[in-house]
This record gives sequence, structure tokens and C-alpha cells, in this order.
Amino acid sequence: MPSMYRSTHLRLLVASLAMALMLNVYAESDWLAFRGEGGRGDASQASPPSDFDVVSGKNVAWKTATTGRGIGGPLVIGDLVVVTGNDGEDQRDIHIEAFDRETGERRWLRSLRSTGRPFTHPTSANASPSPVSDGVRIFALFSSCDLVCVDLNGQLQWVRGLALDHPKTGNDISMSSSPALVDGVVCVQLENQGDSFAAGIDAETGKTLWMLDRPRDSNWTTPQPVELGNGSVAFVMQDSSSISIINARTGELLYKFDAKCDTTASSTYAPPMIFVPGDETTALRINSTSVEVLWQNNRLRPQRCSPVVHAERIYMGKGSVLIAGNVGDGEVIWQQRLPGINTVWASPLYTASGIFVFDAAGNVAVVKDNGDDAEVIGEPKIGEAILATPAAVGDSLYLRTDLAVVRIKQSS
Amino acid sequence: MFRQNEYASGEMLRSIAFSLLAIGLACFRLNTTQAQDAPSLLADLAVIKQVGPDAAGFEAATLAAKRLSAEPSSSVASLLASMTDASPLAKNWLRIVAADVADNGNFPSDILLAFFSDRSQDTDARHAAYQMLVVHDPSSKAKLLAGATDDPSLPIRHQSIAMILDEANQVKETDDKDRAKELFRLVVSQGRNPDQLQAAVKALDVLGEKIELADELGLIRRYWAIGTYENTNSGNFATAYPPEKVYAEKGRLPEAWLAANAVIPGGLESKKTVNTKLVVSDDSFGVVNINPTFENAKDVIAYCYVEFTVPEAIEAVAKLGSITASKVWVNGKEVMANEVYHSGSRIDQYIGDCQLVPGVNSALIKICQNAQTEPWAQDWQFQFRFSDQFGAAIKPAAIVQPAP
Repeated sequence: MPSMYRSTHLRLLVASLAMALMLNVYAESDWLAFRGEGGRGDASQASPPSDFDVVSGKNVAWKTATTGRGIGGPLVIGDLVVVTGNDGEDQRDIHIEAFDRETGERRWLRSLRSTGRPFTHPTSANASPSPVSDGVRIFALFSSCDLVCVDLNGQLQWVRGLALDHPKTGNDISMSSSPALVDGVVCVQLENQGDSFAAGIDAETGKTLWMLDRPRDSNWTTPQPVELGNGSVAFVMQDSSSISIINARTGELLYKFDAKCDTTASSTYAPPMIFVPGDETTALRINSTSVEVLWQNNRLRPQRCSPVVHAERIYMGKGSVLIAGNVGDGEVIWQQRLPGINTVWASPLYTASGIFVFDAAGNVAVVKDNGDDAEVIGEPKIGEAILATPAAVGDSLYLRTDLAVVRIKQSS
Repeated sequence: MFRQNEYASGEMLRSIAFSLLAIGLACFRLNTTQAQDAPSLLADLAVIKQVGPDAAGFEAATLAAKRLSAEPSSSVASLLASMTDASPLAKNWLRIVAADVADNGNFPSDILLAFFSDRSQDTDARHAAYQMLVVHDPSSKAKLLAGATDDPSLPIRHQSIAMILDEANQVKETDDKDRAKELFRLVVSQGRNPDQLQAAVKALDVLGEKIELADELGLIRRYWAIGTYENTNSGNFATAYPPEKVYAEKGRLPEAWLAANAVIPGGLESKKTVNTKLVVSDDSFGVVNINPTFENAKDVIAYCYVEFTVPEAIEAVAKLGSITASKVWVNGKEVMANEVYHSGSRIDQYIGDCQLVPGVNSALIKICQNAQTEPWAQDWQFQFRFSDQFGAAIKPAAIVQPAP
């Protein structure tokens, strides 16, 4: 191989590795954030069973009660499954706990008291944001604005009480935006009618790197890390009237687009595109030197849950209907009614076994995308409340039900 | 600059020395079999107690936490004892490190039990000990909570009351109704959480025993309501209309304003006068709905005023639940302000410390309404009461204005 090519390939390899390190390193066996890598809900490498019954134990590897209730998604990190929870009077006791991935036994539990507002709507919970991890540390945010960093052994790195620093920050419906992580920066988007802000926090030290005033209105969406064309990284934040792209390290506003965005369903990143749901779902394409609106479509929009992207398809859950669209132009390809599915809060998951849709009562539909149409190929049962978006890794599905964590795996 | 840093360093050293002394004294009080704390352990605990706003002191505290996490589980009481006088943030650091330490080697059941049983210890630290004991051995819960209905730690007390409620509900299904009533009455008398009291009062009602929940909770249900004032585009939260201006100056509203249909200055040119109206709620949970009084007005503000008596001076907590933006003054001083509309409400949602005096006290509540049109955004109501610093309801001896 000519040296010039070797050099080019080497540079590409180094650049790829550097980018992989800046973004969270996703081993195929890990699930490190709300809806997985890029918030895509794409677990196409995973093949969990499409028929299971948590009540009877069919294809249930283990089920373990958690400390308190939680509606944030689980993380799968190496040999751990990590969830958050809350209990106590007014949900003031908050917890992070890790379970053995093989056996479901609790490895450790770390408990705190809320330093901010613990109140939420009964449907929601203090433990509503999903935690995020870089593979060596876990960052857990609660509705009370307590932000905790521990390592995989549960050893404390630091704890912030963001509502101690911002006493007017809070929402008694809940603060459900999950923290996002890129390039050693933890981003929290704490939008509410009081002291509304977003902040970039140094993952290593817990110090605030930057802070931005945000619209004084309720917003439950999660910021999404993206790679920009120039090799830097950014967070995409949406609010009811705009999309902002923020330099991850400095907090500088790089781009802003007017758009009627959803304040519940979060954006989905499938490089080089990011899809922001709303009255008009907006697709942005990140080019080498700019970001442009690729399309906006008011027929393709979800209800509460966030979009899923796999290959050329974007899927939107809308209650008892799953919609598939084309990522290139946003046109709807098919709509599939889901028997037995009612109120849905968890976002769908794309797996090799099918697209899983979970309703809040614990009913599940597994949908197969046939191209021009779809079919329901499974109706497994959880049998208890679940609002958290599950994780899918390898041969398993990891469910964080309201009061338990469950590993679904084909029985041998 | 150098002098400032020097001063800051001196302040920090003094602060750490004070913390060391406090931790040492707390540990000295412990009636456990643990060995003398090593100076390095005390120093690390003191460092953690220095964590503050905006990540102040975090770098040193993270290193201290790392060293402490290697301590044997027998050290757990020292960590818990160090929570005395710690800030809420520092307590969270210490809780996590204490749980980490408890995992090192044999679980320190005896040490934690001794700590939990010592009611003179910090209430939050005892609660942390309780949590660790119950997680380690769930079957210990009932034993730990027995007799804890008057525990000085509110979360422990809450757990104990929850256990009594469970028992009462089970007994209620048997023939022993008297025992069930006895247990529900215990919840009403010892409970501090309004939801628990509400559950007990409802159950007693089913069993034929009437208790006025609002009175038990000290909820005030009679007010003079003055309004409405303009709140166009929700823009007048900060506007000091005559009631709050006069109240802040005088500490009471003029006697002439406290009568039905009294004429009050309006504040803005577009509305030169407003009137006083009597508002009385009969809601069992003390909800005062002012929509009927002001005909479901939108983009407006009303003030609700009450004078009441208490027998003695007390450091109190004013507690408001309001679905819309609100401010509260007690005896002329502002105690809380929250500019939030239609984003969840519950009893005791907002709190603020205040001082009640023997005899007549007063409170003024500013309740704003915006112009949202959604069906779920039409409520205009509040719940208001006082408690002591430990959560016990302060029941006014009498409502003086509006007089019954």
C-alpha cells in the first residue's frame, strides 16, 4: 500500500477512534443512555424473544424488585444493569442501584435525599430521567434536580444539588429530561416556568462548564449529542418553538431553527441526520460546514414517545398505532394498528426480532416491517406498569417496570 | 488579591477545624464499640462537609470520598455521625460514601442498629442507617419502625405511620372495628403527612367516626378576597397592587377594607376600584376555590387575607398549595413567591419560614390567574396552612378576620 494511502487510512482510523471516544463508546453489549446510541432506539443487533410473559415467567431470565418506583430507562454496562428509583414521603428518597446482569442480584445501592422539589404528577416520578454512562461512570439526574456521578462500583465521584444553586428550578408535573453525555460533558436541560436553564457539567469534576438561559416553559425533552461536520460535538435542544444546536464544550449557540417542536418526545440522531418531533417533525442534515433543514412533515409525528430510526426508516409510536416513514423525505409508508396497546409512554425499540411497542399497562406488540406494510408478530405480556423505555442488548430485553427490573431472554 | 486568597484560606482552615471538632464531638457521643477514629478519616469527613454551591470544594471532596470508600464497614457510624450540622448537599455525599463503606466486609448491623436507636443523633443520619438496615434485611423493617410513630426523623416517622395505616386497613376488614379505629386515630394524632391523615380520616368516616380533616391539618378556609386586579399576559406578578403595598407597609390591612363589598383602590387607571368579598370553603382538604367569587375571570389577580390567633410565639412554616402563580406574606413579611401556572399542585407545595406571635397574626395571599384556555388550566384555587418546624399542624385558635 502506498505510504500516502497508509497515512490517509491511519488518519481516518485515528479520527474515527477519537470520535468514538468523544461520543460514548458503545460496545455491542452495552446500552448507555435513554434509547441507546444516538437516542435511536435501534437495537438491530439484538434478538430478544418476541414471545414472553413476565407473570408466568416464560422467557424471563430473572426479575428483581427495585428500591422504589422508577420510570427512567435502564442502562446495561458490562455485567451490570443500572436503574434509578424513588420512594419515601413525597418521593424524597432517591436511589441508584446496580444489578448483576446474569443473575439479577443487587450489586450495590446508593441512596440520597432530594434537595430540590420532589413532587410530580402521580403518573411521573422523581426518578423519571434515564441515567447515562460513558462506560466507566454513571450519571443520574432526578426530577428534584439532584445530579449524581458514581463509578461502576457505586463509588461516589460527585453529587450536585442543582436546585440548591437554582432554587426556582422545578416542575411539579416532573422534570423528566434525561442527562446527555458527550466528550466529557454532561448536559442537563432543566426547562420550567421558574429558573429555566441548560448546563454543561464537567463529567470528571462536576463543575459547571457553561450555562444557558432557556425558555421559561415546561419541557421534558432530552438533549441529543451530535457530531458536527468539523469534527466537534454539540447538543441539540428543542423547545416548543425552536431547535438549538449548542457547542458541547463551550455552550455557544451554533445554529437555531424555528420549528414547532414537541416538548415530550425527544429527538433522534442517525448521522448525519437528526429528527426532531413536533407538530411538524423536522429533519436536519448535518453537512461538513453547516446544518440544513432537510424536510418538515406534519403527518409524521409521535404521541409522547420518541422516534426510532433504523436504516432508511423512521418509526413513530402514536398510542395504539405505529407509523413508519422514510428518513429521506418524511413521507409516511405504512401505519399499523396495534391490538391491545393503549396509553404509551415508553419509546419503541427496533430489534432483529421486530419492533417492540410497550404500553403503560404492560401490554406489548411486536411488529415486523415488511417494507410496504407491517404485521404484528407477537403480543407478549409484562403484566405490570411500565413507562420506562427498555434496553435491548444481545439476546435480551431489559425492562424497567415501575417496581422491578426484568431480563427477558429465550429459555434454553 | 493575595490578601483575599489568604483570608479565604484562613476562613476555610477555620471552617475545617470547626467541622473536625463537630465531627469529633458527634463521634464521641456514639455508644458503639468502634475504635478511635483516625485523624485522617476525620479530616476527610471535614473536607466533604465543605462542598458547596456550584461544585465548590468538589475536587478535594472527590479525593476524600475515594479514600473514605476504602474504610472498613466498622467505620460507618463515624461517617453517619459526621452528618451532624452538614449541609443538605454534604449529607448526600456522606450518605453515598457511608453506603459504600457499609459494603466493605461484614455488614455492620450492630453498629447501624445502635446508631439508629440513638435518637439524639442527626435525624437524616439515622434515616440513612435505617435505609441500610432494611435493604440488608427487609424483615427488620417492622422491628425498627415499632414505636417510631413519634420519631424525630420525619421520614422514619412517615414509614412508621405507613406501617400503622397498613395494619389498620387490615384490621378494618376483621370484626375488630374498635382496634381499627384506634389505629386510624393514632395515624391522625401522630401523622405529619397530609396524605396519610387524609387516608385515616376517610377510613374513620367509613367506620362511622367523623373527623374534620381540614381542621386537623390546620387548613385555613375563611378569607377576605380582594380583587380583581389586572394580570394582562400574566405580566403583573411583580406589580405591587394596593393590598400588598399597604400590607407590606402596615403589617395589616385597614379595618375599613375588611367588610363585604368594601371599596379598595384599584391600582391601575383602567380599573380604579375593586371590592372585598367573603370566601369560605367547606372542602374537607381545605381547597379554597376563588373562581365562583370572581366569575372565572382570566388574566387577573386576587388577594386573600386572613387574621387569626395563636396562643404563643412559634417559628412556623407557611405552607401553600396553588395551581397558579402566588405570593404569601405573613405578618407583613413576604415568605414565598412562585410564578408558575397550571403545572401541578398539591397541599404543602410551597413552603416558607415565618414567625407567629402570641395573639393576632395575619397572612396575605396573592393568587394570580393567566389566560390559558385548555380545560385543565381553568382552576384558580389554593390550600394554606401553617406547621411547626417538625411538621405538626398549627391550628389557629380563632379566625378573627373574616369573623365567623
